[in-house]
Amino acid sequence: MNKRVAHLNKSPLQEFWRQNGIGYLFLAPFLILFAVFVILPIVIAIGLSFTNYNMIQDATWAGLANYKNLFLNDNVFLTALKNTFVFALFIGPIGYLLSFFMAWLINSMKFRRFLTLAFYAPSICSGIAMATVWLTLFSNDRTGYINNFLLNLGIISEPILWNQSAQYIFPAVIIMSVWMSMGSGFLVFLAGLQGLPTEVFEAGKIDGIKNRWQELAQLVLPLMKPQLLFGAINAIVGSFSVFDVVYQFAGMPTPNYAGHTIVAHLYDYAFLRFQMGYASAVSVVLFLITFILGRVVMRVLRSDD
Amino acid sequence: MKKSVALPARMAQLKEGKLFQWYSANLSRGQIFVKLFIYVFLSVVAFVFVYPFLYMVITSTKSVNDLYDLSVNWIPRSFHKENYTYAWKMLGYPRHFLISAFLTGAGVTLKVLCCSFIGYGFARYKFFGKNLLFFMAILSIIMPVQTILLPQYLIFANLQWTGSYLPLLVPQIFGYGLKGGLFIFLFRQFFLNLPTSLEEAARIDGCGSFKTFWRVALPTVRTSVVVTVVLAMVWHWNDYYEPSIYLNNAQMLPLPSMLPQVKAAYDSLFGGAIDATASNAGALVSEGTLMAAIFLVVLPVLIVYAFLQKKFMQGIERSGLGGD
Repeated sequence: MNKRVAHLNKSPLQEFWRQNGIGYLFLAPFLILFAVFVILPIVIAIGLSFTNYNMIQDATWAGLANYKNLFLNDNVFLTALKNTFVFALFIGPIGYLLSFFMAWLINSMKFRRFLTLAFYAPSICSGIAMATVWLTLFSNDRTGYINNFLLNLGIISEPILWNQSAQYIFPAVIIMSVWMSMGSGFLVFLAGLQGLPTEVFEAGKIDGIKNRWQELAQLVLPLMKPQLLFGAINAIVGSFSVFDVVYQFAGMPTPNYAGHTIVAHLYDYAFLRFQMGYASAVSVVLFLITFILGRVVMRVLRSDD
Repeated sequence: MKKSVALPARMAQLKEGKLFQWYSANLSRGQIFVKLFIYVFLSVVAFVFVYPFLYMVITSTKSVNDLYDLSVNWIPRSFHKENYTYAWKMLGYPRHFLISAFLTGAGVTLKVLCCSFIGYGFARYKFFGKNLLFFMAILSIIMPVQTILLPQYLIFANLQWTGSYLPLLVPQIFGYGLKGGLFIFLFRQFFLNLPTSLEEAARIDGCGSFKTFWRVALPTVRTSVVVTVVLAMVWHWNDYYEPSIYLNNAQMLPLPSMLPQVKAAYDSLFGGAIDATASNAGALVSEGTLMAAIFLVVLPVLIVYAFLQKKFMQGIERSGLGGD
């Protein structure tokens, strides 16, 4: 009784702390670091984006010049913007659908463990290691494995210069990225499918579910929402990290900027040309894109609760 | 409610494949055909997925003669173990393996401890600005590292942390660093799906908030912790980007970051040439050596994963990422 009264006598600030304090204490590590290592860099980047800065001389004020150049004069940036979205539109959905579809097929099969390992093994291995393997598979001469295969089938008559011709970089990168993206999403889907309770399927059968497709739409997908969400976040992350694959495969810059993405543009200006002001403007644009994506993800997540 | 079959019984059912028994119980001829088709399809796709991997393993055992002999495709004439001894030397395997093991071990431990703590805060406590903070965590997941790489580098350089392991380890403590947001999200899911009754009981027995977390909540989700340990281990071991930026001394690099050196030696002396570096004078850097080096780098993760796969799958089933 006395304790309750004591609370009422406290100042609003103390009252606020009583209600929120422990939550903040749990989040303290996150808050501190997020401020120091994420928010501060973003602020620095925004600041630098209005300047000309080459890391040697002091920064000079440039106003909106960087942004004006970026959107009005820099055709390469527009190509990069377009490429980023096209890559994301292909790799994200293809990887997502393929990993769910494969998990769904494998789930009811024998040799499940072996098949699981076959699909997951690529993503356990480091990206750089596997890029090196792919590079030899996509080798440009007649004996390169993929060229050799296509030549034997009679689909092509001349070996394809996979990582040197603008038109073939795109499909090659898509293939490699999808191959590597069959990772955690796939495993989580598979485990989710295995965890589905049997009775639901029996009940569904009694209620007149006729085939696997109906069962998938009406029972499996609604029950698997948590895993599907995790997979979606993973797919979005994956579709934006295509830069590493392109860089390993075709170097920089790619012929005709066929594999040039926003991240590549940023890397180019920041670490090759040392035009930090301009690079910062690129990273601000990149940040805005992820910000919008983040809002979308939050909306999807909120419908979960 | 959904979990009316006890967990051990369900696991047993799963093992016997009874979950989908009603499919196989009454198969018509058409259904058998469909099933056969699915097996063939899966085998083909699985082969495509494993192919680069098989290619790596097989090539790593080939001698130079086998590499250029087109009749030797799948089975090499002999196991050319020199590939592995050269690769071992060029990678500086013992030293850089230990560095990688240390970075992975420390990174995973810090990450799991801290992200579970933060995730628990998100799952159990209400406070002002929670949605905004969670949004920031999500943002840190989907933001490509390169977005803030440059200012981040400037900050670490100002702290004089570059050239040490601090930029790779300290952020883990705060739930940031390599995909930290994703782990916060995972732990939040785990704890949200945990009934609160145990923790309430602990509270009545006089446990404080932190003690409740440490003694009651965290041990209860330990099967799920395996999931995060495996994911974190794979990502930390393979992390190539951050070390290559923050570590400027080749002696300090973790194992995967040593691969480009082998690749460069292979490229400059294309296949079968003599490696001129003083330490391994006379070593043949063929494609076989390169593939052996790659295999040596990925092998430790594969071994650890093989041991943990079963626990990993169980962990996902039982955790917030499972069906219920």
